[in-house]
This record gives sequence, structure tokens and C-alpha cells, in this order.
Amino acid sequence: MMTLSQLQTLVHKCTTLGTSPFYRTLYGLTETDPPLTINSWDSWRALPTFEKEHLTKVTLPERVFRPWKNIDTILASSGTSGKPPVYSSWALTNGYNYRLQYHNFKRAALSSMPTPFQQQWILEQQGGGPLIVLDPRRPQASIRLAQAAGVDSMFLILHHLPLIAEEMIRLGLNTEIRFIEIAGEISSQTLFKYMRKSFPNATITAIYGSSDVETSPIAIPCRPMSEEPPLAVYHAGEHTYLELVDPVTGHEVAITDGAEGDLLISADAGAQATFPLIRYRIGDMVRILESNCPQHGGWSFEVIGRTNMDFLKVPGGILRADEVERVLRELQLPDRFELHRYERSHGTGFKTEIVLHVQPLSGTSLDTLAHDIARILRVSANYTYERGVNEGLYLPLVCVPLTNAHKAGKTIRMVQH
Amino acid sequence: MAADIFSYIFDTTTPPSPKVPTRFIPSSFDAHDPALQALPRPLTPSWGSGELLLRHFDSQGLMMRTPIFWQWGMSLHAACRALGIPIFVNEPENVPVGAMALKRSGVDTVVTENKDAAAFASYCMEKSLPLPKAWVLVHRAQNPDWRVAAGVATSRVAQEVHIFPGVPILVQCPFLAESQATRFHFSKEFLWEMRGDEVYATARKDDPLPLKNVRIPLMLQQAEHCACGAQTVTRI
Repeated sequence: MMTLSQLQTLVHKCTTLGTSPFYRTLYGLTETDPPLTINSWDSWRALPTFEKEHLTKVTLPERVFRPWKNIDTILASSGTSGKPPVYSSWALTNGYNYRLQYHNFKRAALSSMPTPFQQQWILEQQGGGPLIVLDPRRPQASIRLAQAAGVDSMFLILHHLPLIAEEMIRLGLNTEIRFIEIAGEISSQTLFKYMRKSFPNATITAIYGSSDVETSPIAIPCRPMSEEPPLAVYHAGEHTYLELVDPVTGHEVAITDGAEGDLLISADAGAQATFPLIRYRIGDMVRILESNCPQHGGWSFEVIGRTNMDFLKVPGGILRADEVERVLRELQLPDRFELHRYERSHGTGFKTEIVLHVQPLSGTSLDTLAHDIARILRVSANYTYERGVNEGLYLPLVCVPLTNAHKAGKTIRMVQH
Repeated sequence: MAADIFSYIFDTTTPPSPKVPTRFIPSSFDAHDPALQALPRPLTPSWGSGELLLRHFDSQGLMMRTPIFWQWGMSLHAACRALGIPIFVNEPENVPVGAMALKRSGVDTVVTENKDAAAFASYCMEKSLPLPKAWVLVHRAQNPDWRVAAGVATSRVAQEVHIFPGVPILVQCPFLAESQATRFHFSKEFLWEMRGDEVYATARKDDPLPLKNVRIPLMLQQAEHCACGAQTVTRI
């Protein structure tokens, strides 16, 4: 975790004239104002926070810290509420040395992380084997190459795992896997048990990262995942400083066992940094598990969900609350709903099932309604839920009536089980 | 007649076994091809022809729209690092995010296949989004049609012909790219020999794929010298 001295340097660097104007604009500095100086934790905590909406307002070239040549990779993540995607710049940084305590990486690795070039660079630094990039839309071809390369480790976005497990079991490759690192979303107990059963010889860890944060992993695992809850326990990564605030008032939440709050991320990739973060409100709620972890020092935490549950990641894209509302309105239905996502056993693998609680018009068949919704509900720009069903990603959509107990409001309406 | 490169690779009962550490790429452009094998390639990825072109185009960022399973990204990334420009991976299926990237991310050059380029350019025009400043188009050697689509030719275009995904056999230098010609140079991936209109490839010393005088199933003829001074060839 970064120190106050490092944060002072970060604020000075980010508000110096001639660098990116992003923070000077955010803090209301004029063209003649000197860089900001913070000299205490109180002055640090007085700095405004910012959210993804601030990033969507400006293009990447308008906010990036120069020189441009420091940018290794550009990543895209979905915007919020129909806004354009956020394009983020990444320098090459290595926050993954924690992996070496679990595996030696001498053989090949298979990765579906959005940063394959960083992952390959890290493996090279560690004297590791080659990286095979998993194509989530064509997983079998990538697995065929991984088999030839002698793969024994994997870095995966969680929802890609069910896509590949069956094929790896079929090839007998699953027992060769010794290390799996997952990211991207919170694993359910059911999915973890499936991972455990499918890859019996693997140490399974979870990292917490985001394509908006170039120093990802934001947080590294405190311990490997096990069936003992909570499944994924994290510590701050070495290039980050984490804080909690109340999601409603924005006031600081004290770091005590069991405390919950909205996560703020500050991060600096050092001299190569292309977009350092100062008090970025990423939109995730976390719970402190131990305020002073006896093994690693500092506080450990688990991620408990989105602050505003307005989307859920699913294979092939994202289910968004505003898209569900659009579909319901198009079908001339009230736009109040509750959406539940489950991972259901299917054959030897898993499929995503969506159960939508809606207010149907009287006399409407729920099966017909589910079919009509699936036909026009978009998971990505050119991909409908129905197409995902036809391609074997999802089980058919299920509609059930929204009960009075569910009609309380819009704050919790996308639920992952 | 000598065996051609495909029978050499696909008629063997086991894939060529590399003696040195390697990367692997697919032997087919089609992910669902039942004959798909893992081909060993030199461990250090590179894209020398592309590096020259990106430098010439003064590219500020490269968007990769070829399928991810080709494993070509590492080579493109190596070229981008050599030039100090970023790479952005855009799945071919995700056209809106790729098109918006031309407006909002700073990338200005797209590498993709001809058919995808036409569809992508059409989407950009329909949505009033900028077109790429430059394209690098990949033709499959087996594809009979290497013509550049009309909507694409309005930007600067360079072309390459690949025998396997990410393995160029015919490339263009900046002079050929600027002339919009369908003439090519042989790539430096292999050592080449022309016997009449037939072409033979031999692997370089450090290549883990031990090709020796295997025939490339293309009919080529020598054409005029390029302004760069090197010989060119065209398809018959």
C-alpha cells in the first residue's frame, strides 16, 4: 500500500502544469495555479473523488499523461448508462510477483486476461514459458494450441472458465493444470466447486483488477481460494492505496473488522504511468475482513458487489439495467424489474441462467414474454440473449411475476447468485 | 514435384516436433477446421514488415481486428513497442467498440482481413465515425480474391499475404503500399526460390519448423523492380 509521502508526490505530479489537464480541471485549478500540495491525511481526504462518468467525458488523448510512447496497451470497458466505452491506457507494470509463491511458470500459460502482452512480458521477466491467448469466441482452437505448448497454468476472466473446462476435461488436460488465477467478477460457491472438481491439481487464486486501472491487480490474494468462505480474500497491490467511504454520504469509513464501504482507488505506475488515479470511485462495495492481517499486515477484504447494481457481466457481454428497461418499455410493460443470474449445472459443464421478475400484462403467457424479451435483449451491441441461447452460452430466459416484496425501488435489481 | 507446404504439415501423422522453445500458432485460419494443428514458430515474436509500414504511416496506435486465436497479437505488439505506439485488441465481432476507438482512443491504424475491413469501414461511414488513417490488410494465400474493397481504398492501404495466420509470405514495402499495387516482395520469414512460376520456401536457421524446399501452392511471376530496389512478384 502506498504511503502518505508517495501520495504527496502523486498529487504534485498529477497537478503539475504541462501534464494531463484532467486533475487540474477536476480540482478547479486555474492556468496560473501552482501544483497542489497535500501535507496531511486530512488534506488528502479533502481531495474530491471521481467516477467513471468523468472518464467518459474526455477522450483518451485528452487525459493521458505524456509521453504517448509510454502507453503499451489500450483497453476498452463498457461505459455506464448507455455512455460510450471508456478507453484506458496501460504502461507495462508488474504487480504479479505474488504468483511465484504458488507456481514456477516454466511451462506455457493460457490467458484470457485483457492484457496478454503484459502477461507475456511478466512471464519473460520470470523466466517463464510462452503464453497462449484464449479466444473466448473460439476457445477450442486456443486450447488445442495450449495442449501442444504443454500448458500447466491459466489466467482467466471467471466467466470464461466454464467455456473451456469441458474441452480440457475431454482432452485430459485438466489434470495438468497446477495454477489458476481468476479475475473479472465474484465467484459463486457453486462455480468454485465446479472449478475445484474440474481442475483437481490446481491452486486457485483470485485477483481484483479493472481495465480502468493500469496498475492492476488493484488487489492480490491473501490466500488461495478454498471452500471456506469467503472465497476470495484480497490485500492492496503494491502500486495502490485503498480507502473506504460511505456510498451515500461519501464520508470516510474507518478501517475496522467487518466495516463495509464504497472502494476508492489511488494508483501510480511510477515514471511510466500513463494515467495515475487519485481517489477513483470504482463502484464496488467491499467488506473489511481483518483490519490487521496477521500474515501480511494491512487490511484484508472481500468484494461484496456493485455499489449501484446497474449491470452484470455474463459470457459474451454485459446485461445492463437500462437495456432491460428499454426492452420492457418496447414491449409496453412497466419498466420495474428484478434480474437474477444463476450458474446452473448443464451436462458436464455450466450455463448462465437469467430469471427476470417482471410485471406482465394480464393474460400474457410468461413463456411467450420470456421468448419476446430474449429476442431483443442485447448483451452487447450485436448480440442478443436469444443468440447466446442458440450458441449454447445461456439457458433460456425465465420470466416470473414481480411480487410486491420486490417493488421497493431500483437500488437492488441486478442480483448475482 | 516436391510436396507443398500443406501436405508437408498435414500429411504427417504427428505435428513437427520442435527442438527449441517455441511459440505455437494455428495451422488454419478457421478455428473450427478439424485439421487445425499447432505450428511451432520462433519464440521471439516479430512483425518486421508491419513495423516498416507503421513507421511510414506515422501511426499513433494499432488496432488488431484479426481473430485472437491466431496468436498474432504478440508479433503486432512487438512491432508497436519498437515504434513506441500502443496496441488495442478489438474482437472482430465487436465493431462498435472498435469504431468508437478511432474517435476516442487515439489509435488510427487497423490491421485486419479484407472482408472485415469493408464491413468495418461501412459501419464507420454509417455512424459518421472517422475511418482509419491507414489499413494493413491480410489476405489468405488460399483466397482467390486479393482485391481491396472500395470503401477501404479511400485510406492508405498496405497488403500482406499469409500462408498461415500471422505468417506473411508476401509483403509490401512503403513504396508498394503507396502505389496501391497488388505487387509484393517475398517476406523475410523464409528463404525463397522461384522455379518458373513455382515458389519454394526453406526455413531460416532458427526456425523451429524444419521446412526445406517445400512448394508454396501459389502461381507467381516476377514483376518490375520496386522503387525500393527489390524485386516484386504478382499472382498469375
